[in-house]
Amino acid sequence: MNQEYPEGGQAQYNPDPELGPIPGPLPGPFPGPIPWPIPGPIPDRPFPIPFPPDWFRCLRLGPVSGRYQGEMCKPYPGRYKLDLRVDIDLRYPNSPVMNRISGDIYQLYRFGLPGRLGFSWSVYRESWIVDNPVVTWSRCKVTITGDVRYWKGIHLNTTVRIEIPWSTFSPVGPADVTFSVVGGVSSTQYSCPRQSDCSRSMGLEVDVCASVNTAPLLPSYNTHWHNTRPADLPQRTLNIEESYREAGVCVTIDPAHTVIDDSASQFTSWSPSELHDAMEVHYSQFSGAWPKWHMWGLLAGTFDSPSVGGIMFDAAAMYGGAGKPPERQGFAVFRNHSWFNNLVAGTPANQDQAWAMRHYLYTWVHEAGHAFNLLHSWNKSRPDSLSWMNYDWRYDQRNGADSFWNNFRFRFDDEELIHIRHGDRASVIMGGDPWASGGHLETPEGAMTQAIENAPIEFLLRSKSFFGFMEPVDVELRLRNLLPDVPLDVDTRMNPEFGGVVLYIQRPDGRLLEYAPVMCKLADPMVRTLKPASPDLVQGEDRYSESVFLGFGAYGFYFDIPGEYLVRAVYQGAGDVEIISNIHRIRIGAPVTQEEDREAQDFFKPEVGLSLYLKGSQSPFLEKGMQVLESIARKRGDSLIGAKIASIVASSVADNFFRIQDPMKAKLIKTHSSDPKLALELTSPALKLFHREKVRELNLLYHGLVRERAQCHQAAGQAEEAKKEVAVLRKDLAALGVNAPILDEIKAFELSL
Amino acid sequence: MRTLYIDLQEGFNNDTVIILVNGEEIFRKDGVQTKLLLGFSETLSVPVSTGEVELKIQVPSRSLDDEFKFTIQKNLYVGISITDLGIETIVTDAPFMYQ
Repeated sequence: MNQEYPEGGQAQYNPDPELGPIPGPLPGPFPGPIPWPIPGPIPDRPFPIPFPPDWFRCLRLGPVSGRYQGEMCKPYPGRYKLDLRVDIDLRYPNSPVMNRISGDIYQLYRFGLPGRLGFSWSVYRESWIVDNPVVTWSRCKVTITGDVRYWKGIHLNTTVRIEIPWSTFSPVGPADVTFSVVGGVSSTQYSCPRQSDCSRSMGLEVDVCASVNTAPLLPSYNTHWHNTRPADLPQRTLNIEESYREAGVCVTIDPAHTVIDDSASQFTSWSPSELHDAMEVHYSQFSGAWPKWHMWGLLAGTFDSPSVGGIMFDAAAMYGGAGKPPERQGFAVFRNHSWFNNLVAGTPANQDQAWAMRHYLYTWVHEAGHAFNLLHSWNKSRPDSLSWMNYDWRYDQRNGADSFWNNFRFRFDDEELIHIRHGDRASVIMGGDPWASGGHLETPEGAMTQAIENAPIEFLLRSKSFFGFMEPVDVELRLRNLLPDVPLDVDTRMNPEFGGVVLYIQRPDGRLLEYAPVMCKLADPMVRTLKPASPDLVQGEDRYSESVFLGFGAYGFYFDIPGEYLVRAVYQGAGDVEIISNIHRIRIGAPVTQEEDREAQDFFKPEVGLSLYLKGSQSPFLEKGMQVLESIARKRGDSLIGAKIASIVASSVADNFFRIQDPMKAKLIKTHSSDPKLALELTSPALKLFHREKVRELNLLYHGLVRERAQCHQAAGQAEEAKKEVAVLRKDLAALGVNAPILDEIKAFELSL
Repeated sequence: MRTLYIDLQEGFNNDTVIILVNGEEIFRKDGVQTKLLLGFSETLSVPVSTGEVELKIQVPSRSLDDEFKFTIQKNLYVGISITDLGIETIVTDAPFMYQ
């Protein structure tokens, strides 16, 4: 019984308001005539009531498909944000429906300050997809259910239920989304207002070389201009924006175009490296935070290989790209290619001109498709795909002359559309996963965590950019207060052993690992106050640094092969603070000599790694490891590797060591007596090297070494020597621009000796 | 005289490739690698007389070799790829284009 129509009232027709399915979807975009969806059978009523009295209810405006975004309602209101993509009905003309649901989850952080607007930022967490949603249409809503498949990480089986309502002349939504763990009682709920009919939105900046700076800069093609086409191909005008709008991406092209002077006398053609360099110089977004939904396109003259009409150059060198991550930020189209000889602005006058414009559009869309991480069709075992990502001549070779253009409908294929609209964020977003890598499949959970807005604390990860083969790898982690007028208390225990910092390391082979320390420590936070970064601040009081050894961990050596590594850290502070560091590049050198190569055989063993991790040990179990280290320290004392290893060896030599020698007696006895003089002897070359090199990246190590040596000097009754070395340290660090608070601390230490 | 254009296209992965035209070696290279971004590795050209031309391709790193015969009246374009079936060719009278 419909409660809106009380018994005895005039209109006794009581349609079931939930009767469905609703014919439709209504065409969009609006404004336009709205067909009346008739809600169920029309009763046999005399004039003047030919339709149900509530015919005006729930006249849906536009499609349901598109993007929705909103915050968590339960169980933690406002703690998470969901970016939801619904793809179940026609959202735009000529836009195939993929019948998928997907989403990205972000954690929201808010940093409240009394009496003023707080900070908020979001950190991307993970993406998911529903491959086979069950869609139930009703008059006033659609209900979608399905099994959630997360792209990475380990999750309990999860289902999702989405309800999207509408009412007459109101926008569709909000989407009420409930995730439920199968077999459990937990569920999370979000309320997501509709944002767009597109699944994604992206910016495109286009620059042009002066030599080809003539119209048409960008393509615009009427699909009926060239006669070779499917007979039923819908006629419309396609440009880059429209082509991608049909694919589900709203592209906004920056109207400003930088003109690049390519008139240098000996310059004839572009290499991938030169294209990437041009992008670094001219792309206004290049130096910002990546990944992001933005890309750069360059209209250039000619590529090194004249047969190339366009290239997405921002990929690994082995694939023909520039080899400079992050990848997929830019592409180029080569105007002087023979394809475009007949290119004219405006309506083409003949079929050759139409062909040229069609191919021009094709090249732009194809190259941007590579930046979305799409491979060529045949590389995906779909050589007969009628897609932007195929080659017409390859298709024709298999299917007959002109068969591609006779059948191509100016679209991506279904798998590509699913990737573009619903793929794992990292594998789609520009600057995310490397091109063609599939690397996201092996990514540890959280590794692609990405801060979206600026947090009030900077978390910096840095070190030397180059480490020699077998050189212990240390990085500096630094917290800095970015607020101009508010001091911040932060836990400064940044060693991953304490659990507050997680580090991710991408190896030269592309594998992404989470650094696992050998041991875990439970301790009280070490809270320090970072002063605000005000103009009268003494520099250094707003920050705190710690050196962390990353060379060896629970799963062995992390930097044992030559090549380029990427390192990133995530800081989880007290309360609800998560700060992401920059991505830092480290190169590990190859063995310089055959002897070094042979030494690696003895060096990369667990007992050596553990000795390094423990900063030396006098345990007999690690004796062999320590022997290897001591041998390197003595042989290479005047090198950085030797200096670092000598410091580690000396650290254990300078301390007493106690152990249980007889397990039957279970009594600790001293098995090694502190030998400060040996420790000083071992580290004397290291001290000279740090003093001689005066490299900023070695400040922390130099400082640490001098402090250790000072303690050894004191133990050996040589306090004056200690004072001298500390004084020299202070002078050296001052020359390197070390901040006053650190220098003051060193001075205080010197006076205490 | 005409020109025979030969493109080494898909499937090359750090391979050694030797090409002979009419019995004469015109190309030999180690480390031939298909650029996945574009779908080709190398482009070469050789002048030939009109008439029958014999093209031999050897990929010793894969123990593959094959030979093809073409009748050339005008410039000819041959694309060579390595597939599961071995060495395959695409022959056309228009230049190959890549993007």
